[in-house]
Amino acid sequence: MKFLSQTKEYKHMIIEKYFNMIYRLAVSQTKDIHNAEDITNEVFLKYMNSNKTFESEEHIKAWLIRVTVNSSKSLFSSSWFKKTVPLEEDIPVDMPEEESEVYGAVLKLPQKYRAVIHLFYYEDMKTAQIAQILNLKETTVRSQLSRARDTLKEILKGDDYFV
Amino acid sequence: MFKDLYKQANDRIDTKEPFERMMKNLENAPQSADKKIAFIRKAEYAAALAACVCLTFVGVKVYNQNELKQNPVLDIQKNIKENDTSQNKIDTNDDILPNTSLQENTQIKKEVSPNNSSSELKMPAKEKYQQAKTDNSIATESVQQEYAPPADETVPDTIINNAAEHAEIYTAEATAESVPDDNANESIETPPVMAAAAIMFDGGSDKQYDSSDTSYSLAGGNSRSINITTKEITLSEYYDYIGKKISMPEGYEIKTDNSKLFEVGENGIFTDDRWTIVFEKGNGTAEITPSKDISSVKHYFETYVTTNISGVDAAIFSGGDAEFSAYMISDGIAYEINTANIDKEELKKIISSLAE
Repeated sequence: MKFLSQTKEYKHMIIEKYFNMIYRLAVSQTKDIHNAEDITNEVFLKYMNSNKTFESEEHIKAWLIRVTVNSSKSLFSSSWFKKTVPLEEDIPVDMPEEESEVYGAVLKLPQKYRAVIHLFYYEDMKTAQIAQILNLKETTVRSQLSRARDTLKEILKGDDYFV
Repeated sequence: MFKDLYKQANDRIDTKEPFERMMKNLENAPQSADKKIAFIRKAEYAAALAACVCLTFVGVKVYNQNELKQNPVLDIQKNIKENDTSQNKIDTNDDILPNTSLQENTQIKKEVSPNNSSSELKMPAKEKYQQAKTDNSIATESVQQEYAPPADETVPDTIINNAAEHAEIYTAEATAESVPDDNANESIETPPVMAAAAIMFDGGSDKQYDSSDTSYSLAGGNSRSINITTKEITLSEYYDYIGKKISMPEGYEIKTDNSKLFEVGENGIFTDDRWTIVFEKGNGTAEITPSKDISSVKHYFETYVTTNISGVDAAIFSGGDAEFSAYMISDGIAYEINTANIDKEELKKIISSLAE
C-alpha cells in the first residue's frame, strides 16, 4: 500500500511535527544555531520539493534524519566552512550547570558520535533503527555508542552520569 | 541520569522563532522564485533585443566605411554634403584656391585649418552615432525599469541557494557526455550516471600534505566541490556500470545487492568499516565492501590507484573532522574510501609517496 504523502497540507503537517526533532538534531550536529537553522530549512525545502513516495510516516522521519545528518557532514566538509571561523562557539541557551556540562560534553564528541548519541538518548531510538537510518551496520552503531560513552566519561570525569 | 540531563538540555533550545522564520521562507519561496525566473527571462529578452540593434548599427557603419575606403569619390562627396549641412569652419574659410580640383581643395582646406581634423569633418555621422548610442541606453534602461521587481521584494537566501544548486546540476547535466533519459532500465552503454562538468578539490597546494587543515589534494584547486548527478537506478545497475568502468583489484569485490534503490541522494554516507561510494548530489550511496580488512588501504593505494587502474583520473585524500578519507576519481565520479581506522602517520607516508 502506497502512502499518500504528496499533498501540501500533509507536508506542512509533517514539517510542524518534526521541526523540533530536526532542528535539535541539526544543532547537535553543527554546534551552532545559525547553521542548524540553515540546515533545517534546507532539509524541509528538499522535502517540500521532493516527489518521492514514502511508504509510511516512519519512512519520512528516517529520510529527514538522514538528510539532516548528511547535510551537516556536507557543511563540515565544504570549502566555505573550512575557511570560516564561527562567531560563537557556544549555543546561547540558559541551562542549569549539570545540563550544560552534559550537553557541552556531547558537543565535544566527533560528529558521527554526536549523531548516534543524540538519536539514542534524545530520540529514544534502538541501535537497529539508528543503523537503518544512518545506513550503518548495527555493530558499528553499537561500537560508536560505546566509544562515545567512553569519551563522555572522560570528559565528564567519571561514570556517575551513566549509573 | 545522563539521558535525563541531555533531554532537558535539548528541550531548552528554542525552536519557536526558527520555525516561524522557516515557515515564512517556505511560504514565500515558490512565488519569489517564479517572479525571479520571469524577471530573468524578460531581462534576457531585452538584452538580446538591444544586442541586435547594436549589431545592426555597427554592421551598417562598417559597411559604409568600407564603401568609402573603396570609393574615394564617395568620401569626398560625403564630406561636401556634411560640410554643407553642418556649417563647418571650412565653409567659412575664404581661402579657396581657384583652379584646383575638388580633392586638392579639400586637402588644402585641411592644411590651412589646423583645428579641422578629419574627425571634425565627419562630425555629423559621429554625432548621429552618439545620439543612437544614447537612445539605445535610454531604451535599455526603460526596459529594465519596466521589468524590474519592486524594491521591497526580496528573494529568500534559501531560494537563491536552491536556485544556484539547481543551476549547478543543470550545468552538469548539460555538459555531460551522455545524458540518459528518464528510463531507469537503460543499457550500460548509456551510463546511468550523468557525469559532472567539473570536479574541484579543496586542500593544500597541489601534491603537498597540508597539516593545517588535515587535507590533501592530488588534483589541486581552490574549492572542494564534487557535482554528480545521478538518477534513481538499482544498485545492481550501478554496480554493472562500475564494473565496466573500473576493475577491482585482486582481493576486492563489488557486492551486488539489488534489494534497494538509491534513496537519500544528497550526500555521501561515511562508514567505519567499509568502503563507500559517495554522491554529493546524487540519488544515493552504494557500498563497496572489501573482502579484505580495510587496514590494507596502503595496499589499495599502491596497487589500485598508483598502478594502472583503468578509468581513474585522479585520487585524493581529504580530511574530515575526525578522520581521513580517500577519494578516487573516474569520469567525474568520486569514489570515497573511508580510512577512519588507518594510522594517520602511515597515511601521511603513503600520501608523500604518492606525491613524489
